[in-house]
Amino acid sequence: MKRDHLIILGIVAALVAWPLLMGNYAVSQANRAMIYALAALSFSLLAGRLGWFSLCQTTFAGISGYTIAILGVRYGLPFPLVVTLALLFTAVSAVIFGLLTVRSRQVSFLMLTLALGQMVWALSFQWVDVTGGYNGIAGVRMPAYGGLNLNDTRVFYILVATVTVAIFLAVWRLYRSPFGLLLLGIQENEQRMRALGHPVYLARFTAFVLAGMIGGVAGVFLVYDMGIMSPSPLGLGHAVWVLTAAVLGGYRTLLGPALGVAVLIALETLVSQYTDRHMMVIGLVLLLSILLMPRGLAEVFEQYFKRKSKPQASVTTTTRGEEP
Amino acid sequence: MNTFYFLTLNGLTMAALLFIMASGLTLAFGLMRVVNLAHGAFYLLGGYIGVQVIRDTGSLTLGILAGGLAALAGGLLMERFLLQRVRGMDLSEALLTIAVGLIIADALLVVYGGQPVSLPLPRELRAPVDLGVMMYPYFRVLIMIFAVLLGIALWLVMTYTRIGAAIRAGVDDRETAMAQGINVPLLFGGVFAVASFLAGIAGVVGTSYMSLTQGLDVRVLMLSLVVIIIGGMGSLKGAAVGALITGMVSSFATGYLPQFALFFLFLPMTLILVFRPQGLFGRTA
Repeated sequence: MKRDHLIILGIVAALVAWPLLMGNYAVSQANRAMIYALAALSFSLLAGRLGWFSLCQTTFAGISGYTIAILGVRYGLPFPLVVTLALLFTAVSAVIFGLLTVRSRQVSFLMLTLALGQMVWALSFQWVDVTGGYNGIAGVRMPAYGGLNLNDTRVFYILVATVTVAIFLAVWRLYRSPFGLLLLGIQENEQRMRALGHPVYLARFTAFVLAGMIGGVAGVFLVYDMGIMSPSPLGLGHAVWVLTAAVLGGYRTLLGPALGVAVLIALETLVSQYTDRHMMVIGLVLLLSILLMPRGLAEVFEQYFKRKSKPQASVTTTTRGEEP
Repeated sequence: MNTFYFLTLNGLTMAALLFIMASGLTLAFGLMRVVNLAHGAFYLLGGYIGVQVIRDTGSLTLGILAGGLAALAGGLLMERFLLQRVRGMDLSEALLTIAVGLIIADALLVVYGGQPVSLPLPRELRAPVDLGVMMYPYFRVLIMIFAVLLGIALWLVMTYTRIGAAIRAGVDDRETAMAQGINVPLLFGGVFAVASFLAGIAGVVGTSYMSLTQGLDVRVLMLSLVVIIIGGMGSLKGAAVGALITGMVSSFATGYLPQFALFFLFLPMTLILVFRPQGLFGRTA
């Protein structure tokens, strides 16, 4: 417990220090990282707890982003209403997708979410009258309340950081709650959970909608961060990017997805000096992560620290089995 | 009325291409529960290599063969050197194929650039023939005939040969089939190779219908997935029916409601998922 609290304090301290110490570019990079960390968390919630690898979490971000762009720019609705409607519409989409996918398992879930996600991409691409097609909808801006301009990178940073930390804390609680344990139980042995009287489909469906909502929140920030909504964030490339970040960081842990996003963005920044083959880099990272480090960086670190602090403990409890 | 015939024939051409792509994919999936998400990239690989060979040698047959063999080589290499390391972990295998697909597609973009490429066909193949109801390009008629012959050949192999029986046994019950002395890993390598070969061939002949561009790999993959989800994973008959439905919907939606063409493709899939989640000819697990 104490270690967890220390980690949380450390992260919050780092998040507070970042805009005070760094320049504008670094702060806007951090904004992007937090938004993708939310998307990766949305992915990891399903992958880590249920073994459901989804390729449509970025689609929920896209649905929410398009709702904001269309209602905010085309119809000029006020900011709070637009955001509420965006999240509501994301929830409705998540319910529909959830109903279609709740019975599928593993690989078929992956295929279904790929197909459903691409369907929405196709709609955003071809339904030009509403979505603006390839060019998208530009001019998505946050409002200014008095002297507080939410479009300012640093003000936006405070907003994104607060919400991101709050959502990560909520998911942290969720992982420890009976519901979170039930999800793990379902992943382990669906039949047994059903035999014990747990509503397996309902639990999976609820998790799917929750994860979709997190994706929706990421979409709200994404569209205001970019200022434009186009089909590209809904494409397979983005979905695989988020998946790669989560696998690299460790989708089974709470902080793994955030770690993966940070590492991947740093790697991309580094590599972009030499080549612009981003997709190839992502593909290679995904390939190597799965072959060499299927549990991700977070668990590698965890084991490293455990081994370091172990010698004292292992003397007294030699018979204790290896912890999973 | 002419439009109607034209759209029907286009739908049949599309269905033929989809069947060539999806038949191998669905058999491989049925046999080893591996869905090859690099299938679209193999299609692209076959297409580019095939077009290049046709340009260099002037022979269409050589081009089709080269495209098929390039994809076959890619499939075999991926199966031997990557998928076998994580055999048994279905999801890891699927994710590996995604990664390989990304790398291949990006590499092709580097080598061949982003300009759309179409198939250099000899004039006698491009010329339309009279089908009774209307004139239609000869090559597209050939694609349809090829798909039908392929379907018959696959069906004969699956029904009447020892290999077919072994594949069916492997699809039904992998463990028992292995216990009976059937070399399922070898069989799987074979089916995977045939599936990749067909993807490559489809890439070459399909280029006469859809030109090769960036992003086509994802579209082809998505269409193949829709076909096998509709038809039921692992079923050849399902792939045929799924391809017909998807091809027709695609053609008519493009003709009458172009704004929703891609979206409408998913309508039959969604309906099937709601009312028959295992697909039209799939078995419940």
